Amino acid sequence: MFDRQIAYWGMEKQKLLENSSILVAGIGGLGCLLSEILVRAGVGRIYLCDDGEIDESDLNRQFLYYKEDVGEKKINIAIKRLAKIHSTTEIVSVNGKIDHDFIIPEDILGVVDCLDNYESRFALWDRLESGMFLVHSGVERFFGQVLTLIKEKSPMLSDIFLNLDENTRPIPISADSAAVISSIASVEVIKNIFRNPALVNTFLIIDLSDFTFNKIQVC
Amino acid sequence: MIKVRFFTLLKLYLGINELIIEAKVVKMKELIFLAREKTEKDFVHKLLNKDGTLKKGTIILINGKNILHLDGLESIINSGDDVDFFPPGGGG
Repeated sequence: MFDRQIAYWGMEKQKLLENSSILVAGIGGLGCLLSEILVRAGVGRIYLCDDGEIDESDLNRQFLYYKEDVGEKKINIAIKRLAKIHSTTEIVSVNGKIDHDFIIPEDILGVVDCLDNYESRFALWDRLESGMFLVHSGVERFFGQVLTLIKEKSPMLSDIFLNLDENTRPIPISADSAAVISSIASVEVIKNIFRNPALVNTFLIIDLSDFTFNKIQVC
Repeated sequence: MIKVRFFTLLKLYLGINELIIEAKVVKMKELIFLAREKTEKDFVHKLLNKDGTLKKGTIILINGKNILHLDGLESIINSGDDVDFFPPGGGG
């Protein structure tokens, strides 16, 4: 099944993917496509966490859901759809809200932050164990950012993002921007699994208004 | 020489990516007004409240460090430093 990508990155890296466990936090505009890419890449185990229900307004950008799913729990539909792709990836539901009591699965290499609010993002970072990676992703209108942090080695997520304004809701967002940012975040997750991340302590700022990419190293 | 970069919403609003400010040592609040002298549109109201305090929403970094971990608007910027104004995406 994975012949075409093994021809690209080799069997050794495919084994790294198959032996890895990742937590995807949030299965919305970013988490839907990102988790599908990780499944298709052949990641061995993917934990999914989202306590939300599918709203009609999610259908413009959340690729795993259809009109008949409105009102259903996102986690149930996402697992159902992702499990249809193939049987190599074990997809595991993680119940509960991401807060300061959230229990991180013990066997994960790292987490992908596909959340839609910074309070949960900071709680997720707080719950990580030393050495785990967090790939942060965020999207809005025509832009977004991706960043890798390593727990206990990198600055804290909440320190980097001091001075945010969380009051502007709902956040304007469309499928095209969400697809680009989630795809780039998935590349960085795979690079982390290959132990060769490109964005450790470095924001990649993607601006689709003129297709520019910029990096800012944070400290 | 201080390099000032604008990202995302600020970049789109101002229509420029970056500015160079010729100064040896300057405080952050002064830098904002020096940059304003070089832009067509006023952007000070997007960064500062009417009382001169920092408005929420934009991350300001000096050489990658959030100014709120330095001295805020009183943070010192030296020639050769990079200053980034970055309103990040919040959605997921």
